Order: sequence, then C-alpha cells, then structure tokens
Amino acid sequence: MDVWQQLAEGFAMALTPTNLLYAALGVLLGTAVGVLPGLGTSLTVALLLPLTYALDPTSAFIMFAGIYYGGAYGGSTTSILLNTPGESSTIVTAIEGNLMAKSGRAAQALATAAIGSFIAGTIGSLLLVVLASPIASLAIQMGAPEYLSVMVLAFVAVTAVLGASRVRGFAALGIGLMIGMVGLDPQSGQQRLTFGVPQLIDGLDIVLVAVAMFAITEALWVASRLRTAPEEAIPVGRPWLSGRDLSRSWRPWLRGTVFGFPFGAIPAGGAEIPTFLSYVTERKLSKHPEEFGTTGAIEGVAGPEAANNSSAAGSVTSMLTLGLPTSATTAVMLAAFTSYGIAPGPQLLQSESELVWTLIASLFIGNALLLLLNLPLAPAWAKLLRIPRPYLYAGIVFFAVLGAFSVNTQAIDIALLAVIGVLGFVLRKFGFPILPVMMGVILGPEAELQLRRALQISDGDVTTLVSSPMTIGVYLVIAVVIAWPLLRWLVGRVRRATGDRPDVQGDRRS
Amino acid sequence: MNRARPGIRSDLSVVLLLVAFGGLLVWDTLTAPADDMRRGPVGPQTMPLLVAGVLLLCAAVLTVEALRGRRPRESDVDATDWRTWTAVIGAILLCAVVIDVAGWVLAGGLMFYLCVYAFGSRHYVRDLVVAAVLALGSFYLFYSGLGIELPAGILQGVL
Repeated sequence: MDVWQQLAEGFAMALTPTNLLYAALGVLLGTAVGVLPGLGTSLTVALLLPLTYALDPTSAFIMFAGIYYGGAYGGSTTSILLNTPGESSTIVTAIEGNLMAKSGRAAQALATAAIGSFIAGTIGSLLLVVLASPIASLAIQMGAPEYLSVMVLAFVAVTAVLGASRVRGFAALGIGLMIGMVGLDPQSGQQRLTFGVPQLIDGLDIVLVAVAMFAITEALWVASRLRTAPEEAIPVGRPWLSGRDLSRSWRPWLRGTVFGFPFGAIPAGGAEIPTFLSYVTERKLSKHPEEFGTTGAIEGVAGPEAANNSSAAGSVTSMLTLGLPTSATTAVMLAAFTSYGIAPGPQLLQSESELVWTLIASLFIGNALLLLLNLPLAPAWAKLLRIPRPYLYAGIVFFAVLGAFSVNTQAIDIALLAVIGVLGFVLRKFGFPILPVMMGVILGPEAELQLRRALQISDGDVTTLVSSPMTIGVYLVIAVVIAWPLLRWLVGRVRRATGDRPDVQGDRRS
Repeated sequence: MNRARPGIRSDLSVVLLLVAFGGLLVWDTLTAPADDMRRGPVGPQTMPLLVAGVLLLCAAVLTVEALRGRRPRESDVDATDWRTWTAVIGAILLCAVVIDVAGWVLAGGLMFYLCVYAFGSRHYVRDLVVAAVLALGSFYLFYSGLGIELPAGILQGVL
C-alpha cells in the first residue's frame, strides 16, 4: 500500500474524538512538564507508563508522542524566561533566549521558538513518513548477527559519546545489562540474580525501573541540593514576530531542522549536539554578530529550537523503524511497547501498521495543536513557574510511587522503586550517565537472545557474527567510535600545526 | 591535599560499587544449579560473566584513573543536603512498610505530606489539604477511571 494512503488512514484514525483528546492531553502535559524546571519528557512519559495497563496502545502512544513534542517546545519557555533549562536539549536556547528576554524581547523569543518548533517538527515528521518504510524493509532482511551488531553499535555509541567519561558510560551500561538479567532466563528457564525472592522471578518490570531511574532519581537529586535558590521568572506578553524578525528567523529554522533530524536518529546523537551546532552556525552566519551575548540574537533561539524539535522526530524514526532508543524519551516509549507485548523492531511497520501510522499522523496533529495552544497561551504557561517547588517534587514522588504500586499492588514494588532510585542517584552523583543504564535494561535481553540465536544457528562458530558485509561495516563503525578520542587528538594536532583552531568548545551534558 | 582526598574517596567508592556488582554476578552465576536444559553453545552463564567482566574492567580502569588523579568533569559533589535526601527516601520506604495495613490513601497521603515537609514547605494546613486531595483523588480516579482497585487498608468500608 502507498505510504500516503497509509498516512491518510492514520489521520482518519487519529482524528477520532478520543484520539484527538489524547493528543491534546499529551501536548498540554508535555508543554507543562517542559515548562516546569526539573521535569523532563522522559520523566513524564515514565510516570505515565503505568497507564499502559489501562489504555489501549494507540491512545497511549498518541499521548506519549504529544508529550515528547510538547516537552521539546515547553522547555524553551523556561529557558527563555527563567534561564533554567527544563531539558538538556534547551540549554542552548537559554543562552540567547534569556538575553533577549532581559532586553525586553521575550515575546519575540517565544514566538520564534514556537514557530520554529512547528516548522521543524512538521518537516521532521514528513521525513519520518518518507523514510520509515525504506528503512524498515532494509532492516527486516537482517538476521540475528546483523541485529546483534546494530545493538552493539547502539550500546557503544551511547556509552562512548554521552556522559563525563567513557569508562563510566560502559560501567553504566553493564549495570543496566545486569538489571535486565534479573529473573528467569527465557531460553533455559534458569533463574538469574533472583536470590530466592519469588517476586524477582518474573524479572524487574521495565516500567518500574524507568520510573525509579527517572522520577525517583530526579526527586532525590533535587532533595540533595535543595539549598540552591531558584531564579525569578521574567514576565511576558503575547508572543509575536515582526516582518524583520521573521526574515531573520526562517533560515535558522530550516538549518536547525537539517542539523536536528540525523542526530536524533542515530544512537547517542540526541538533541544536545545539533542544538549546539546550530547555535555555532547561526552565530557565524549572522549579520548581527554584535547581538550575540549582549542583547540576545533571535537567530540563536530560532536555530537551536528547530534543531531540538527535528531531532525528536529523528528519534521517533529510529524507534519505529529499528526499535532502537536514541533518546531517553524514546527509551521509555520502547518500554511501553514492551509492556503491551508489542515487539519493537522493523517488523513493527507491518505487524502494527495501524498503530504506527496513527501515531505518525498524530505527530502532525500534535504539532499543529502545539502552535495553536502555545502562541496565545504563553503567558498562562509562564504562570506554571509559580507552583511551589515542594509540591512539585513531592508530587513527582507521589505519582512515581502510585504508578509503580498500581501495576501489581505489591508493597515490595515500592521498596524496589526506592532501591533502584537510590542506585540511580548514586550513579548520577558519581557522574554516570543514566541513558546507557536504560539501554542495557531494555535492549540487553534482546541482544542476548540474538547472540545466542546466531551462535545456535552456526553451531558455536563465532565467525558467524562477522560473516556478512553489513556486520563487518557496523563493527568497523564501532571501531571508529571507540578509537575516536585518538582520532580527535590527531586532528587536533594537525589543526594546531596549521594554526586553525575552533574557537568555541562544546560542553555536552548527558 | 585536603581537597583531593574526598575526590579520591568518592572515586574509590564507585570502584567498590562496580566490584560488588561484578562479584555478585560471578557469584550468582557460579552458584546456579548446572543447567541441563542448555540449548546451543551459549548458555545462560555467558552473558552474566561477560557483563561481570565489563564491570570489573571498568572498576580497574577507574582505580588507575583515580590514583593518577585523573577525574572527569563531575556534578558538584560538595553541598549535598543529606537530611532532605534521607527524609524523602525514608518517606517512600515508610509508605512501602505501612501500605499493606494502612492502604493507599493513608500511606500515600502520609508519604506526600512528609515529602512536602522535607522539600521545605511549612504551610502545615495547606499541605495536609493538598495531600488529602491527592491521595483520595488518585484512589477514586484509579477506581472509577482505570478500573484499578488500590488497597483501602484500614479505611475499608469507609471509602
């Protein structure tokens, strides 16, 4: 069936009143949590995961997608008005956006962020429509060795690129793989890491682990540094753009979109790198370089905000076509697939084609809703910044416990939630990134299955793992990723020798 | 000298954590009953041992890095408010302990109230009202909206 026809059917499904309601709910929730400092989209989706036991999958994913896009938008409000990025992806927006707000141009900063997000999100979703089927049909021909190689690539890329150090990344991955191993080994029926506790035989629920790692860890993190006083928000009027602002914004929007999508689609790309690249590019290309860092340049908000949203679309593309989580939020959404018993991966487009196309259609709808809601409502959203912090964080704990408990109504689940939350806190405290942990928990069992399947077919011959051109190619890429610091060091030496050094250095955060 | 020591100590506690996890995996795998349902050349022990290897290797590299004084950019280790931290985690564990007897409304409400206090709110009456609204609201929302019956505990019959 034609792609556009399938999309049209997706729209027909997504435009039913119920699904429209969930899209609106998701977008509102997403914007709200994006605006609230300290609440991220991954955390929100994690908190809502228990709903998957009560909602039908289509509605749940429509809502999750709305939260993802809404969060990408809402984070910009906090960055601009409060200089406190609600998300790591809007750190760059805060640089110029807050300066613009301080010099009285908050309305324009919010407007260029909203329209840029809309344009980038729409283009990104179109790319998803065009690319989904080709990628999936390519991926569906992969056998166990190829699958394994792609998963190893995802593991290595995430651990090598994110976080303070690679060793810590790999250690985090190992801990995640370990958590994923708890329970019965599906192939042999042997118990692993259950310590004779009957509740552990079924394994740790991914929903529980995700809620603990994101929500409880965040609450404990805030609790541990409560003494840091919050900043005051800058009041704002209705967002609008003059013709001059518009003509300064549209090129950065498009360039940001181009940066964002591919980075969102690859493991470990995320939104931080493309937003930063976009910022640097706009700063170089701007006709008003004097505004950067002083009164705030609109290009420095328009580009990164667009990059941010199109990277979300790229992330969703990898999730739907390959079953690979390339961002924390899609990692949590994959957990939702698992809890519905839907196997994510290239076959998803065929086996759950209705769900996938409805979800894609709802991305367009969510994007349009965001623009409609956010341009006129920006002052209202800014009021959310006045919720007393104690209620906010106690609320996170409350809903996390409620979510974890309601799944099986077992008291031990609350205790497990606390234990894993403390583990997450300790990891964060010592500079371990959380995403590799979640990758290990979610992809670990699948990777083990593929490894064992591949070696079973080849009767123990290890060379089967590198027997096809694709696996060789992927492992070569992995080698490059691992050897990257060495390569960068060499490039740096060459650059220094020719006297051409990049003047801005990236400060990535996980 | 004085400044370097807590850094080293925290680095080494990370190493201990990783060694503990790695050791746990090895111990659990080696004490597991021999599997006779093994299918294929890779049994249920391979991955745990592989992961244990990764963890122990990371621990070794981190030890070397710590001893050589190489430390990554880290989230600020200083100024940790352990009192608030303990109060929050304590409230969650208390909830886990009392929930079977007290039910969700009382246990969850109490947990929220303690957390709000821990996070610094001192509006005792307002906090109590918010806690009660959240606890009762979630109970009835789950019951009527999602069809999930949370335990009522000692309030059985009242709610």
